[in-house]
Amino acid sequence: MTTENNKTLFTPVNIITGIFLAIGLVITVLRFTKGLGYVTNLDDNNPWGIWISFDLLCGVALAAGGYTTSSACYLFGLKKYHSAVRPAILTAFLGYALVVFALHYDVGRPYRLPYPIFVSPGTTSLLYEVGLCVFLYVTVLAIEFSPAAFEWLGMKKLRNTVTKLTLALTVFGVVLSTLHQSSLGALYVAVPSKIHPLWYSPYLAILFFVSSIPAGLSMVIFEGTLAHKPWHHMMDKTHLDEHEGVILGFARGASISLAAYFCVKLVAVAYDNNWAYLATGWGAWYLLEVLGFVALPSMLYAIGSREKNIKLIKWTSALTVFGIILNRFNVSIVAFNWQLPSSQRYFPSWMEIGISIFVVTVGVTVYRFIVSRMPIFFEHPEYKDAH
Amino acid sequence: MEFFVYHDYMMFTKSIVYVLMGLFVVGFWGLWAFMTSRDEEIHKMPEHHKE
Amino acid sequence: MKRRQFLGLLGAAGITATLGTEAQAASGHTFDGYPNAKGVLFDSTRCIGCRKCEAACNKVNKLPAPAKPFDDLKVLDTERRTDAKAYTVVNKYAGKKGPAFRKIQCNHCMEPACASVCFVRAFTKNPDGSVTYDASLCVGCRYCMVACPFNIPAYEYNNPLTPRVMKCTMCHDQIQKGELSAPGCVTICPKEALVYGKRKDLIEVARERIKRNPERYQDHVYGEQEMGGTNWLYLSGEKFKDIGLREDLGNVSVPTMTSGPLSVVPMVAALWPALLGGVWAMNKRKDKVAEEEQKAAVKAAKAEVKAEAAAKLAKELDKAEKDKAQAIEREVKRALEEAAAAQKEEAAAKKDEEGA
Repeated sequence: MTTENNKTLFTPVNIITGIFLAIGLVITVLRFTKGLGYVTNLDDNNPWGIWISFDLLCGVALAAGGYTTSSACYLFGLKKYHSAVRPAILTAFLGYALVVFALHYDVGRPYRLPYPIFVSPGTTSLLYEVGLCVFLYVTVLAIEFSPAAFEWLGMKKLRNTVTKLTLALTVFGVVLSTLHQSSLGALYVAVPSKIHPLWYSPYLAILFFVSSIPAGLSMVIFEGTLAHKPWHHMMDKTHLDEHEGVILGFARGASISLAAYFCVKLVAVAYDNNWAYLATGWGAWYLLEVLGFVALPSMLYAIGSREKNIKLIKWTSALTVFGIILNRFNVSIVAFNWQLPSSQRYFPSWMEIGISIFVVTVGVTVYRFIVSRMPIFFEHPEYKDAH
Repeated sequence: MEFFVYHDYMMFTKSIVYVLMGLFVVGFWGLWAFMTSRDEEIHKMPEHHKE
Repeated sequence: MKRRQFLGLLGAAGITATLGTEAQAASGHTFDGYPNAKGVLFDSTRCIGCRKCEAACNKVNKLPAPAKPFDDLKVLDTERRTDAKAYTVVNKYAGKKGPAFRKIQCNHCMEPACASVCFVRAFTKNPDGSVTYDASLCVGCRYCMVACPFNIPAYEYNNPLTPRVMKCTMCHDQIQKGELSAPGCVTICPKEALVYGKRKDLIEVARERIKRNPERYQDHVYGEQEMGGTNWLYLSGEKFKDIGLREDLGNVSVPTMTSGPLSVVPMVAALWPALLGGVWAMNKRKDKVAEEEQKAAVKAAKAEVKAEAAAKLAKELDKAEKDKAQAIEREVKRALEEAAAAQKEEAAAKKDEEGA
């Protein structure tokens, strides 16, 4: 997106970006002048819609690549993943920043978002826990990302000071991630009467946390695949050399963590003896989610990793990402209020969808700006081996 | 202090818990910094001074 | 030292004071609610669906005028719920004994879900039994609406910047200020279907009515145990689920349900740093050992090479010495031979001289 070398600003991608941004800005004005009722299909029975299900729940789950990659490299000592850390941290940072951004649309009084932390903490609420952790984690991610920016800006001393904090930040990041990934699931523990028994469980916290691991690993593979062609010219030799190793290694981790998640899902059904529900229509939908989007990708990752089939792994990562999104939607929208008559059920309005697309577009645009300029896919020549 | 409502009791205990969590973070960091401070000194020392 | 001791004692005393003189473990202690908490008993068998309670509530809380007036009874033909302009509605249900009516409003739970899940403490369970909402703190996250098992809280979705959650207050403010002696709906009911009093007493009243008239009532006081107990209680002739009160909610309150996940939170904060630090240390040590082994291997290799080179050098030197010695020997031999030959020549030449 540069104007150097006579490159035009009006590439097809930029035009589409511009359209989505423009639509988003219009809806933004409507949201804050006419209210949530005008822009969304939310109502008193369905107070949470896709801005929670997608922007918050999926956004956080899919940004899990940050803590999984940085802990693999810095805590578990797997140095061969080092080139994947910066892209993963960037994705996570943008992901969480967008979650906070999107929340400004959903809550009734966004100007009071600091209240739970700085004015009146509702410490009995798991949403308080989510808010506190997300606030702290966005800060951690910003600091973890900052060396790339400092290198780009030539601020050597600042960059070196911050880099010393990597280990502490990584540990703190894993603590925070564990807490908020699980707490997002725990939000729904308070609502057994409204969620279908196959998706409700007192174990929801564990289900959400465990599934965030393959979610993060798969996003790193998936996003790495998407970025490989357009940003190939920004990738240095280390990054390109390590690329396949990252994919193979993460495929293994994803296979095992998906298998673990599958086991936890079964335990959750067994906990309240809910097996009979599997024979219903809802049961068929549940089996589709668990067999098609948890068990199947676990197997495919295993096969792909064993046969070193990169193509299979890449497709499986897309399958897994979709499966995580499906699960979050199932818990929060599809299986939520399952007992209400269909006339009272929720479906998003086009303006809600428009804002969700707008938020993603903003994220992708910032991502493109950063990776085309800052040392994300390559090591800055002045700081080689300085890790 | 008598609590009549479980919610009020939870509010009280969980508030203490969050303060404790903050102390844990600071405490762990402090312990770690203390433990590894000599390593840093050694790291900065010239080669021939190390044992 | 003395000052530190004093401060230490002060700190210890302070902590002990805040933690309470008696440990009130949740496991042993029961939480029975405020002893003088008030509530309302609604007797569905007395309700005629006149909607006067809705009108009184609207007036007493200065709520906006409704789309259809309160004396329009055709409204009862559709099932309604509370909304941003109505803290309470009456619904008509088809009962086995004829039409039955139920007044819907906040049940002022003993352990309210809304208060438990609110991340900004905007809800309070008051000693008078009511659950009230503080619009000056609310961020508008609407988790209370998600969590309420009775689907009571409503939201001002059409307010762009200052939307509020709307729900029945049991006329807490008005009663506190002395403007009312009982909630507006209770006072206006022409059939005395609503009774305001201490929750304890209301349960006795309810039980008494059931005992005196067993064919008239279901043998259950709804709200006595449901969701941990509510301060708004119900008597009914029809089955409770037939007048829209769910019978599958269970007796566990939301605070109790969420205390499990909540208690894991500090455990993670306490344990993860130690575990992760341990993992890091193990890997660092593994790397260090690997590094040292590599160093040792390099050193050994170097030494080996050095030794080999030294051996080679020694061999070469040896050989050179030997060669030199041999060369000297050869030279000496040659010199001797030359000397001998020269001597022989000299002798021959002398002989020739003597013969001539």
